[in-house]
Amino acid sequence: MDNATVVASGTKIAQELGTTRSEVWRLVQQLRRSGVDIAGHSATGYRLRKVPDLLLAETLAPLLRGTIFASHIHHYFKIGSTNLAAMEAAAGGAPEGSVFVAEEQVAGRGRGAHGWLSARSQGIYCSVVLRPALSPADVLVLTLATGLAACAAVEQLLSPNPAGKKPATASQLDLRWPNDLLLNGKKFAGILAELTAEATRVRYVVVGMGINVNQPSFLAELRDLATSLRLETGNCWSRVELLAALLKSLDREYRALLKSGPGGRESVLRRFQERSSFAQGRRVRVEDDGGYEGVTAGLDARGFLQVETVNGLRTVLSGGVRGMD
Amino acid sequence: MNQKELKELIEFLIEKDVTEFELERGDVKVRIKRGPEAAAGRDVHYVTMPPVASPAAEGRAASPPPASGPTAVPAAPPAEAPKEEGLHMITSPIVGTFYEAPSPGSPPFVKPGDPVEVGQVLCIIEAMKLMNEIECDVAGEVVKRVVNNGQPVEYGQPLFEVRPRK
Repeated sequence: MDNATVVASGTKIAQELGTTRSEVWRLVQQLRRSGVDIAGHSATGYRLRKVPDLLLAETLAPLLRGTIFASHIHHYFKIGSTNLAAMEAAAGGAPEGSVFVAEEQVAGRGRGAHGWLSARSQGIYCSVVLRPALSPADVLVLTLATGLAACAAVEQLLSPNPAGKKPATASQLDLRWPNDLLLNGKKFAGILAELTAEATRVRYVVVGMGINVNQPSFLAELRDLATSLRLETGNCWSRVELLAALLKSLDREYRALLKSGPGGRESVLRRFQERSSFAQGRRVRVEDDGGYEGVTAGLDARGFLQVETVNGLRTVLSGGVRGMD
Repeated sequence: MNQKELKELIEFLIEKDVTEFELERGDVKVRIKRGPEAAAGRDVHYVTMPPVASPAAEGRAASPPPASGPTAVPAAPPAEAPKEEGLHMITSPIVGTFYEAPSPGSPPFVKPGDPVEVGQVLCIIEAMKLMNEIECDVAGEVVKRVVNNGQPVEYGQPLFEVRPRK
C-alpha cells in the first residue's frame, strides 16, 4: 500500500511472493477483473494507476481501531444482500460489531418491496450486527441515531476542515424521518434495520446502510428521487474514507445510547429535530395506514413523527414520508 | 364513533343476543360478530375493521385499514379475544405496523392451521424502518391471526393465537 503507484517488475513481485512470473500475471488478471486499475504487464513491470478504493477488511480495520467494528469485517466482491448475510451470521452467533460490506449487491433490500440498486464499487453497501442490552421498544431510537451518524459522516467528508468555507452541498444535506439522507431534496442514502427479539430483550439488530457515492447516473425512473454524492458535488469520493467515518460515528452514537439511558434517547431526539427539516413544519404525505397528508409537528417521546392533519394529530409509525413542497 | 359508543353498541348486541352486526358510515366500517367463531362459544365478541381496497402505492405491502375520520376507533384491539382453554397469545413487543409476509406479494409467514415451532417467524412489526421479526415462543398450531395486514398495533397487542402442542 505504501508504494502503491510505483512500477514493480513481474520478476521482483514474483520473488517477493515466492512464486513465478506467470502466477503473478494470473493474479494481476484476477485483480483487474475485480476492478483494480493496474497498468503494464510482466515484461515492463506493473503499476497501480491509483490505490483501489475497495472496502477491504485490511484497509478498514486500521481506520476503525478502538471501535466495536474493528475486528470482524467481512468483505464481499458480490453478495445477495449484506443485511441477509448479517442476519444469518447473527442467528449463527456472530459477535456484536460484525461488519458485512460488499462491492456489489445483486438483491439489495429496501423497505417493503423496494430494492436498493447496488452497482459495483460505486456505493457503500454495509450491514452491522449489534446486540444491545435493551428492550425492543428502547432500541427504536437506534434507527434515528444511525441516520444522525450517517449525516455526520457525510458532513465530515464534504467539509473536512471545519474552519474552511463549507461547500454549498453540505448545507443542502438533509435528514428525512426516520433516516433517509437527502442532498438537494433527493435521496442518496437509506438505512434498513432488522431486529430479532423476545418480548423484553433484543437478541440482535442488523443495521443496513446503503449510500450512493460515485454513481455517475441513475435510470430515468429514479432520476427525480435518487442521487449520489458525485452527482450532487461533481466529485468522486473515497468510499473507504466515508465508510470509516460512518462506522466511527455509529460507534459513538451507539455507545452513548447504551451508556446514558433515557438521557441518550433525548439527546438523539433533540439532535434529530435540529438536523432534519422534516421534523417540524413540513407539508408531507404519509404512506402509513392508508395514506394521508399534513404538516409535521415534531417527534414524540418515543421518536415517532407527529403530523398535524385536518383530522387532528397523527403519529407516523413506519417509514414512507414524502415532502410535498 | 368513539371507543365508548363502540362499547355501548357491543353491550347492546350482547343484551339482545345479536350475533352479527355490520355498520357502514362514511369511510368507517364496523363489523361485529360474536359467538360461533370461538370454539367454546362463550360470551365472546371481537371487532374487526376490515381493510378497504387501497391504491397499491408503489406496490406497498399493506392493505391498510380504512383511512378513517376524526372519530376513527384506532383499529380496536380485540381486547376480549376468543378464549379457548390453553390458547397461547403472541403479543407485539413494540408499537408499529403489522405485516403478515416478508415482502408485499409474497405468501404470509403463517396461516391458521399451520404447525409452528419455537423460534419460527410469524410476522413483522415495522416501526421507523426497523423490521421486527416476531418469533413464536411455543410449538403448536396457529389458530388465528387477530390483526389485519398493514394495521397499526400497540405494545402488548395480541397478534396470533397458538394452540400449544401437548
